[in-house]
Amino acid sequence: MGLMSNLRVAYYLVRREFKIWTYYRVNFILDIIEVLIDLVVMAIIALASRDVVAPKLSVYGGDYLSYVVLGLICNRILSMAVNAPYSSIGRAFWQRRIELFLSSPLNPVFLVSALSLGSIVRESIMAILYLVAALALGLRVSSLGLTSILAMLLGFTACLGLGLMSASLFYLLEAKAGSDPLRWIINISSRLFSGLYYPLEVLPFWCRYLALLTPHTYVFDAVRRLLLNGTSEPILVVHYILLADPVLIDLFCLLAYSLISVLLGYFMTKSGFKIALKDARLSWWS
Amino acid sequence: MDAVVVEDVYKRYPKYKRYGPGTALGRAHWVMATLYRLKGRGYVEALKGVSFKVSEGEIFCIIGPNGAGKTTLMKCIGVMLIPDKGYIEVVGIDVVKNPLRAKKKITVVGSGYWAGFDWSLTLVENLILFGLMYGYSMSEARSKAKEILDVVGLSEKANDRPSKLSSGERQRLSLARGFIAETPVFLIDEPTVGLDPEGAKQVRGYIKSEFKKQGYTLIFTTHFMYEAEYLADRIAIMDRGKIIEIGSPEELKLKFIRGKVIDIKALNVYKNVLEKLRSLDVINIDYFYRFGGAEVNLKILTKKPYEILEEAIDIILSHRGSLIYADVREPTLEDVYRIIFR
Repeated sequence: MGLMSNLRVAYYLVRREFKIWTYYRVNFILDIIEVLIDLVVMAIIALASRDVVAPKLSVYGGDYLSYVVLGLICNRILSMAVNAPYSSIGRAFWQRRIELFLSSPLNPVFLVSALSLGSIVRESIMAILYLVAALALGLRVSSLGLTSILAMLLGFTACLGLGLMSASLFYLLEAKAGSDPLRWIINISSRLFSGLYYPLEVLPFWCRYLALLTPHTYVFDAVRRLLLNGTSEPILVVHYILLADPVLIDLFCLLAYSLISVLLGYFMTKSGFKIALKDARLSWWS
Repeated sequence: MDAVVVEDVYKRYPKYKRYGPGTALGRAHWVMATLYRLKGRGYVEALKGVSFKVSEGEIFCIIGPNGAGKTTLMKCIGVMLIPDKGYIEVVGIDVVKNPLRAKKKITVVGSGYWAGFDWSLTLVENLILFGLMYGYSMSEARSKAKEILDVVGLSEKANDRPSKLSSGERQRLSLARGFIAETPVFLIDEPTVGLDPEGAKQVRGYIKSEFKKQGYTLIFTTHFMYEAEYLADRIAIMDRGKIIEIGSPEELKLKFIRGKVIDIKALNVYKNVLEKLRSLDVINIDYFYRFGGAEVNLKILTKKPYEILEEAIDIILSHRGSLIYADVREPTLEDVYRIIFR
């Protein structure tokens, strides 16, 4: 299958996801309202804790609302990249669609990625909506530069690689119900140690080593520094070791993370399907 | 030329316990599942050295009891399972070495595949998606989808969702998915399973006329002997992972049955009568009781049908039985099947 053919399939699957998303219109509207409520809650917390948290945020411009909202926007997209591949395999498996899809001449790894794309695009739209609403509520960001987009893209690629790795465990570890261990670790550590809700400075220093495990940490750091007119003071452990511009270090780490996770994700997903085809575990009814 | 070559294929797979969603194991399900996998719970020997060839344009049927390995064999040919040993070739392509190239030449229609159609898409949209998966452009896929829906008689429902179809229509939709790809080889697992007689007749008629007309190669499995005999050019009989016989329906009948079948329907025929009938010059007697044992249906296979018919009637009547119906007929594939698996 050529690139164009694959893109056409991906486009159609994204279109299908939108159809499902907007099929139940009331739910669709409630989803959007929920996003706005989240934002209002964050704004209230930011307002209440402004004086306490602001001194700890000097590296990122000092405004908690901007700090947390930017983190949440990035996190929506990154988390979806981590979670969507596993969910896509799960949905195809439990809805008896996996054999039907895999009987076609599509590469299984591409298929998983294409099936995930719809959810990722949907989440990106929600993230944009969040951003617009946050701007209306007083979010102050400098104009979106290429470097911040690059950081986001690299972070997204790294997370998609992790997502593929986690999806492979569906068959490799037979993790077919609930959550797989990798996704669980990534989701927990990205919430706890990546600086999503609070600056890393409030955590004990050893926690900053754990922060290095997730790509979220580097994305949050780079994007906040770039968009909130941050300083170049080191925060992460790698910043202290490499002694260069923190944003450059973040980008470098994200690049390395992306390469490793995508390659591992590709081969692990391929192996997962191969094992499923060998052990007759491709579908529940095999 | 051979469209499908299967040589000495072996397949076994591990047995292990599975947990469905919502079981007590909950989120830590994978821990237990991994432990079970490591522990090992033996193997299922599904295929033990299966070999055969199917020519281009041939309709080939695989029959056999449940657990014979029919579906496993179909999945191995359709690249949905990797064989442990042996060689499978489809239109000259090794399915193990080049699975994606091979899949371009094969359409697999599983018995429950209709359930995999997307509820959020209409029939035509579902088919467009599968068309795109086989490399068509959007406009090609769209026109092909409409054309195929017309062929399978579903064009009026093109904009309905799959959930609105009857079971016969769903099976035809599964076939339509196969036709959109225009692959030279089709693998259909139980084409009429779960269909009402009318739906089954439609699907059989469709396969009989369209596959021959288009020159497609078809391998299918079935439990309906009438269907196998009606559709197939050749039939392979499988049992416990092996092909035990292969040939055209006529060849199989000639090989296993040198004689004719007497069908008898009678009342008040008990075990002692059956014993007497068995002592006659017969090859096989099959019987089943209906209405709580009041009525019996007998199928007597013999080389001397008319002599045995007379003797059988005498025995039944002399034991206070009443004859409802009796006839002599040519044997069918079902009779062959009963002889092999009696």
